[in-house]
Amino acid sequence: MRTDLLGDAVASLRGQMRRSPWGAFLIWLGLAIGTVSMAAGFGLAEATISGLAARLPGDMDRLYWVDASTVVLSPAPEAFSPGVWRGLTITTLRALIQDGLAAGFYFTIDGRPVSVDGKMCLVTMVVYGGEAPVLGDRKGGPGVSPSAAAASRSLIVNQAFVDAAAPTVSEGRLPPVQLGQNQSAPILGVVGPSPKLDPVPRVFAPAELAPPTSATTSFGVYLPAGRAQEEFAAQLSRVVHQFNPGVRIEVRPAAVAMASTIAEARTVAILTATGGLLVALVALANVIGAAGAWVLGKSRSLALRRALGAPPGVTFLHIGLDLGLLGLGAAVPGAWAASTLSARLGLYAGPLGLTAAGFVTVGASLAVGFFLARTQAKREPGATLGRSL
Amino acid sequence: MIRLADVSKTYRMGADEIRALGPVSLEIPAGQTVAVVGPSGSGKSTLLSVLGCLERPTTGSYVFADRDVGNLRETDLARLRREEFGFVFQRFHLVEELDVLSNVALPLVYRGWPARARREAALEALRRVGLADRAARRPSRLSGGEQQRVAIARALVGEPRVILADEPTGNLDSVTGELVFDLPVRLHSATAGRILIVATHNVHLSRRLDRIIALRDGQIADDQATSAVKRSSGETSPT
Repeated sequence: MRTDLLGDAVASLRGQMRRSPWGAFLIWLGLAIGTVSMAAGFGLAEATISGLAARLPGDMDRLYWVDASTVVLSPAPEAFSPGVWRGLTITTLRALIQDGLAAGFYFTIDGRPVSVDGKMCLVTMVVYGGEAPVLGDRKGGPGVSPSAAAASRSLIVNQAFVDAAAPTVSEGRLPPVQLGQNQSAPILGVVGPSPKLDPVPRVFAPAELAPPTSATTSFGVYLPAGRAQEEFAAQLSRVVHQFNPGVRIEVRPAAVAMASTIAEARTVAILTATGGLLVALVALANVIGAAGAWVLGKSRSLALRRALGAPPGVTFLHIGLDLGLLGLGAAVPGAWAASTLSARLGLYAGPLGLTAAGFVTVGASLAVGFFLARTQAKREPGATLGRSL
Repeated sequence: MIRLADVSKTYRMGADEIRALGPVSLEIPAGQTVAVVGPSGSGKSTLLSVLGCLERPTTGSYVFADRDVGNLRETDLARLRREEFGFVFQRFHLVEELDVLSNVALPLVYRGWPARARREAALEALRRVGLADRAARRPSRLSGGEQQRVAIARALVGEPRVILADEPTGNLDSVTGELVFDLPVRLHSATAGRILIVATHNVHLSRRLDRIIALRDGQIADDQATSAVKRSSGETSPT
């Protein structure tokens, strides 16, 4: 004998599965599709947000962005006049740190060619000096830090670089990177998330490894705590104007300079997550329809139990158990399918998005179940039984 | 014990309203057995449904054991159904996924009885209807008469004060029907104060009960003690 409340609910579920296998399949399929689409949407959103976070350096309050340009009276090439380049060299920037005007700096060089074991690779090189937490949230192994790399005149690379330049080599045995004809540097460590989140090969190079004449027209600078932006801008202008009085220096908080980048990434994240949710909602609408038919199919069985004295909670238990189990049964393979499909398509589906999609699926099933159970519990059992006692 | 005053039940079918019952007024004292007779569509099932608290009356008042049923919440109605009423359905309404013993014990689950007490009570009810040896079977493995006896055992198991049976012999042959009809009359009405209300087409069977209420078009057309009916038709009362 297995007539306890739960045993009765399970028996009722078994009976309904036998009577309406297609109904169960349709609900399961709708929930599984919803899980897959949500996981894909959440994964894209997570990748976008994580990618954005990985690009952002640490302490935004002390970070400023410097742009140098000449007053343009003639066409654009003037903006990159030799004077600008001479003024903003590595040497100049390191002098700023030595003079206490800056705590650190960094700039990026896109499309920089390097080679590993004779294999050429174009990378985004991040050149940094002083206190420059350029890694953002890219975590590496113990001891892998910009300052340690600077002290040992070595490089830090990301996983995308390893995959592109030395895909068959394990991390512990990475060969040195050839930076120029006569210059190479060892790799201290690998940082950052999966290449799916950050697909651009990146090399983080301490300024000590860069030629002293390397220069840039825009760079990020970390000011010492308490140092005013205006004071730094004035001092930098004085240095640069020794080389070219026509150069204009603009110093902006990094948050302002990066606002458009952040906004763009945020928009992409919101759009992708919304897309996933929309597809999930369409799937959910199908689920509601199929679940409605499912509950209708067992309304007689529920009415019988209420006639026998079951309290309204039993209706919630039966429907909640049915849809909760179907939701769980769809969420697990749905998340697995999303993970597999993403791997095949080269998309990112992280544990956070997969878990969230699973929870939303089960939660939505229970919510639909609750709504339908409430409707069912309001119906008089006599009306459902057709007044045929 | 049961008192209906001007009770009616109306159903809405699209834009139309169909009055299935009433207004009817009647009282049924404790210990009485009642047959509700009448042609199809006369309101027998609706009357039993209202009496069993499976539906609320549209108008009028229904007082059961001094409680105004019309004012009860659904939770209280459910309690009333599980503690005071037993139902026998024309189409048996057994749960196929549960064995016979579990089917009989089902009302006790909702009463919160412990498993052992449920099992003993269910076995005793099955023994009373002569089906103790079928306890482990699925309902579909039983004949129609046996299924209805299981349904009667389920109605009896909690020893409710009222048993409502709607055409309990409607799906059975005449011989089996007579045997099945006798069960609630014999087993339930044997205890003092119990009420048995049976809706039936079968005039012959209805005369085994204390009182006959005849319905026509939702209204009470006749309401007499069976003895009076028999006298007026020249029959002699059984001794």
